Amino acid sequence: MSSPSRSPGGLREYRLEPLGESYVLATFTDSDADDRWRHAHSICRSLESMRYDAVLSVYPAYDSVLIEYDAARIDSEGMCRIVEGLTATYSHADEEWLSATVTYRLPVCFGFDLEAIAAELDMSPSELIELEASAPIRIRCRGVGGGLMMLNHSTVPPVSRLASPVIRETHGGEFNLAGVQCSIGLSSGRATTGWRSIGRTPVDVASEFRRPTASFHLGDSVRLDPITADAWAEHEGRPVATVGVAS
Amino acid sequence: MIVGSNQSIRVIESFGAVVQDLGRFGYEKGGISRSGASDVFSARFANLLLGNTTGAPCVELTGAGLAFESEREITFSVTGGVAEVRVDGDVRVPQWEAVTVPPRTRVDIGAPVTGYRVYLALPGGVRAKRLYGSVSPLPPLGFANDVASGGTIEYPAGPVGVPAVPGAGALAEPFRARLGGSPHRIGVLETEQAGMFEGMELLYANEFTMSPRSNAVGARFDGDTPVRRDLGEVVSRSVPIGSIEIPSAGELIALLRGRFITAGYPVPAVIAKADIDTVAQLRPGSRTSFERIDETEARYRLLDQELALRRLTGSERVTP
Repeated sequence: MSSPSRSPGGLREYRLEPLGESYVLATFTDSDADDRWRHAHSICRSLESMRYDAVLSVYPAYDSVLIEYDAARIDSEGMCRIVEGLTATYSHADEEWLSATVTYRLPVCFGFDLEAIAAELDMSPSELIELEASAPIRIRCRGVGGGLMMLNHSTVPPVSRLASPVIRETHGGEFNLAGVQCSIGLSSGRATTGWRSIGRTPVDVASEFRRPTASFHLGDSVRLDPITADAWAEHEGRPVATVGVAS
Repeated sequence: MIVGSNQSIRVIESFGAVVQDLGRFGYEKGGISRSGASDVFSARFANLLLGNTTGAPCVELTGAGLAFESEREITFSVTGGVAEVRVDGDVRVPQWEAVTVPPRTRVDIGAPVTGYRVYLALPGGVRAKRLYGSVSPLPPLGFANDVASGGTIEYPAGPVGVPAVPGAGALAEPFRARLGGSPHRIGVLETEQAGMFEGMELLYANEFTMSPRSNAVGARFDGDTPVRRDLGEVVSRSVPIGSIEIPSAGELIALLRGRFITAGYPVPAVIAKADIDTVAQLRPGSRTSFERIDETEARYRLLDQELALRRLTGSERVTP
């Protein structure tokens, strides 16, 4: 791996990596996870506001942003120089989107691999549930594959991602773990995944993805609210708006 | 299908065909995948043959044929994998050309004998419902425009573009030639993440066989692969279309246009953008080898494709 670079003024530490002839991955390596995430998303917004038409798409994630560009018009070196230039600038306007975030309360029925994972982490299932429900978790990125993707509480030790993804039956609303990450899945059906599930919400998260202006935006948080299997039916089918906004 | 004052063709037989365009742009930040036609070059070429916009919706057939009938005279084009296209059962008509048939004609597009995906374009583009600006399937959200036997495919009744002159299909010849032969050679660019693997040379020295578990999300290959030596956790990040993942020894996945945006496995190499269409045309059992190319070669291949498409339109109006 190449050594990280630091933007002038020391605002951001990052690494640029061409992936093929049409993509550059910018990964932020600052020590604080929140800084890495905010920088990735603010660079994404800076690129969008440039409206440079050789940039075809920007894909932010936890601590990185993937830039897809028209390789018929610019090469990877040119694209890297543009990203380097953007890292040298910093505007609080880039982070205005963070000020309008909300916290949703998500009922979750815990189960699936809960006992096995709790045992791996040397704690009881109820202790793991208590840790997961202890505070809101921020949505770091979204995807129709990964669903609502978050960084788990620092109090929960990393849960190993499956070394090789398996094809298994997945369920919409699954609460999944992999490493320091956690997610709420979207769709049901057989899927290839390396994530492990310890619960499921009856809230139809997928329906929120079908509407561009719906809930669960980047920077919003979810607070997991443990429910019993008996309580599942009373929450099932409810739109997210009726679940309530916690703060 | 969208109803209204459109014209339509009647689908007599269909086996899993879907309506596709070039996918979704501008929604990636919200996690909406690109998707779109698996073989973009063939889909764009089919449209441009009719004078359509390059990204107009068309019909994608995967490993199977399609039969339709039109009450009116219709001009259409068929591109992609090599398939027999017959009119009223006996007259064979060419692929990669605009073809006009008289009213009440039955058209049979056979299953591809070479390649795997075939594209049918209609004048003005197929009319279909959209999600996030695209007609293409988005399976996690249960969205697709399936083309079913006994149904209809709508296309606009109004003025349409001017079809390309006969013989224009010759522009596609260099790209069609890639579908033949075995093993297929796919150009890849190695990434810094190759350092997380042992035996990267195996990727270029060996042949790989496409697995029947492949789909529009990823082409899976069996073979003697490099082995990941750095098993450290990789935080999910967005990955390119064309990414090669080797989640375990002996299993190689090439992510196609239906890929999900984020992944947590290292990407030791990325398929050249111009060669992804070739991967999309592989059928289960196809033998493939990967060749290491540099950025200059990858950009040359991309420009070569774009040049063919621009020549087809006879203008500079074609954009990716």
